[in-house]
Amino acid sequence: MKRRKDNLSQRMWSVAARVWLGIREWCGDAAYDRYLKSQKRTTCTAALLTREQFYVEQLQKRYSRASRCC
Amino acid sequence: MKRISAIAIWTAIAIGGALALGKIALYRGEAINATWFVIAAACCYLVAYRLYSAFISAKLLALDDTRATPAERLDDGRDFVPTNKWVLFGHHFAAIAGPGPLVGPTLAAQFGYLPGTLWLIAGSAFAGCVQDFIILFCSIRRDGKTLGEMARDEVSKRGGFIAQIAVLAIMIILLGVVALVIVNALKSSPWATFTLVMTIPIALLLGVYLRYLRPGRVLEASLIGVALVLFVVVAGQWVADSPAWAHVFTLSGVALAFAIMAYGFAASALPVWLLLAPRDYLSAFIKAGAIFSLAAGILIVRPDVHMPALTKFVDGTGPVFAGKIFPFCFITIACGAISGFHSLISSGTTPKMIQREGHARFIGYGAMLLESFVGVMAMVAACAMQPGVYFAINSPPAIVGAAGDAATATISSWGYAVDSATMANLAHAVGEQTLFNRTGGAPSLAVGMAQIFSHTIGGERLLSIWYHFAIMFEALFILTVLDAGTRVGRFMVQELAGRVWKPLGRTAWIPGVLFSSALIVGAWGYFLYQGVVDPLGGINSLWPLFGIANQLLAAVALVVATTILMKMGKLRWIWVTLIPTMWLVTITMTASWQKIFDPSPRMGFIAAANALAAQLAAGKIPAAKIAETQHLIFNQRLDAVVTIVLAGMILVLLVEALIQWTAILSKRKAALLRESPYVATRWAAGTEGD
Repeated sequence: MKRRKDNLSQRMWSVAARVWLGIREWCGDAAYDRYLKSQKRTTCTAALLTREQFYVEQLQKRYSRASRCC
Repeated sequence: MKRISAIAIWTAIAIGGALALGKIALYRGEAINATWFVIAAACCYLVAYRLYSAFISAKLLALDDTRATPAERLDDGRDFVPTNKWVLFGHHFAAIAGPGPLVGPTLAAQFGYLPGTLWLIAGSAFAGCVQDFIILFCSIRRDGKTLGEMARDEVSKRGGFIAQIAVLAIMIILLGVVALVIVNALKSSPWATFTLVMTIPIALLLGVYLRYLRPGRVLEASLIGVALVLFVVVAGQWVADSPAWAHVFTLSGVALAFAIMAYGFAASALPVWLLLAPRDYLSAFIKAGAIFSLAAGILIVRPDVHMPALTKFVDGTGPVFAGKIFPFCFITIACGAISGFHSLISSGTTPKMIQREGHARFIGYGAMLLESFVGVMAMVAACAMQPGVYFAINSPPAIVGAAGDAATATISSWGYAVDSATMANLAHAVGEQTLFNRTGGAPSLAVGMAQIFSHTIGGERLLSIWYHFAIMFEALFILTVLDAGTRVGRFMVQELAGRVWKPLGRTAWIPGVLFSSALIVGAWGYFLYQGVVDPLGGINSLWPLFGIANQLLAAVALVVATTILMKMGKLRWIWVTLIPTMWLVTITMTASWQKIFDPSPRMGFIAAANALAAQLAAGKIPAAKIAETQHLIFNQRLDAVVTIVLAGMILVLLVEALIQWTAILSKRKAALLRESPYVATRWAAGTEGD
């Protein structure tokens, strides 16, 4: 019984964590973490952007093309 | 056994949808419950997704999950980012869902609830979703190329050029018309004006916070921003109650128009992190919250829809805008059924972030279904109020009269009973001075939403807060489109101007930035001003123009899709895109013809100009109004020219496409596809590189 309860709470935590991550990714909060992960994976030689540089660069790109519809 | 139960479930859903559709189509009683709309829409969408999108995936596109997408092959963590399909669905939906699916159905409710609802459901399933899905697929197969690039590569150079011009044209008209919707919503409303004005310092504060204090921490900044915005919605009541402050924030239409133009210019010219981006974050959160709340509210309250299935205005004599049900119902509701603008999003960021080709069905087709559902909810909200109240809010003074008693007498004579006391009580309950002649769709939608929300939480006591929350939500939504669109328009102008004189093309050169920002704001600002001074309220001439421009872009996208399918050898299934293309060409050409040449001055631009010119020549215009009348004549002629240009572009594109298709079918031209070569995915099923 106790093990079932633990499993259930573990699963609920896991779902909550995934929803939280989803929200962070949806609104762009996790974009910099993604970028760092991607740079590590690709062993890119270019200098890493700081969080601030990355944020400004992303905005410049996003708002130079149609990003919001009517 | 599993298969049999699946068939049983889907058969039950299909029968449920058919019964609900039958109910809303055939019911002729006094009021029908909104639950029928929700069931009809939800069941039809589920069946369309399960069957039609699966058919397109398998037979037309042959989506291949073993093929690496651009997000996998070109992953750089910046442009090309493999993204979870649910997150990307949220991104894509937030990008395609603008004010269009809210305002369009609200305006089209003048025909009754039935035509708009059927068009929203059928149009999205067979045209809008198909366009979004196939363009997304085409862009994925071409490393995320834009619609213009695909039109140039796959159709012809001229096709690409038309796509570019169509984008610029739709951008200018769209921005003018959505700005007009805000002006009409804020005119003489200190509470709403104060709320919206205060979102500017809030956005600036968030901009500084996100740039310098906590770079990129979007979630926490947005939550702070949303809390502040909700506070100013409540604080607006104190401003409206204070005679001195109410006077400061009570602005005329012309003053508001110039204020919005100044805002658009600032948002385009200022650094993007300062004003534009933080407002967009605020808008995204409030948009998601308001849309889900409206859906929940409709399900909880289950309001009755009082608007008849069909009104007498299907004959084209409607007060909200002139024009018969065909083609104007299909022009008025563009977003929510099919919107050409979506093809820019489907060939923009989304194809660069998709993990697997198979996700294109869920994201491209599914997100558009959800947008259509938003349109159905807007239709329910608009039709849930008494028809007399709906017409009193949405009719311009030139049609029903500016005085309350005259307006109610005219509207009641149409068979939609309403009296001045009801309107005065409603205006008082929502915290407005008047609700007569509040054209544009936003105020009536806000009244409908506020009634649904207040039945869920707070009752009559909170009606005014909910009304101003809904107005703020719509205005914030629209301002986001306005500032982002102005900036994109500025880039397009700079790209074109850079060909004439190179420095103008440099996006960091301040004189170039100021010049191009002024040019784009001047272009949409002109249409806005024209709408504000129009005695018929502006929506009558500008919204159809916007619909025509938007459907023109959809026609461009569907022609590109048809050409690509033809080159892929999918001739047998070409009707999937060809029929929507032909439908769009038919409605846009018919609407264009009627808007230009119809002999009724309320309908035809040329007839309106001639009627005014005749009055001027006969000396019937007072001396003080001569300059204004000459201006109105010029505007009507300008609208006629713009419509001719848009219709001309459709015809040129169609001829261009027919030449291409004939050459391909007769084998005079090789069916050369410009797809990126096949690369096998490195990700095992279910891992998606995370």
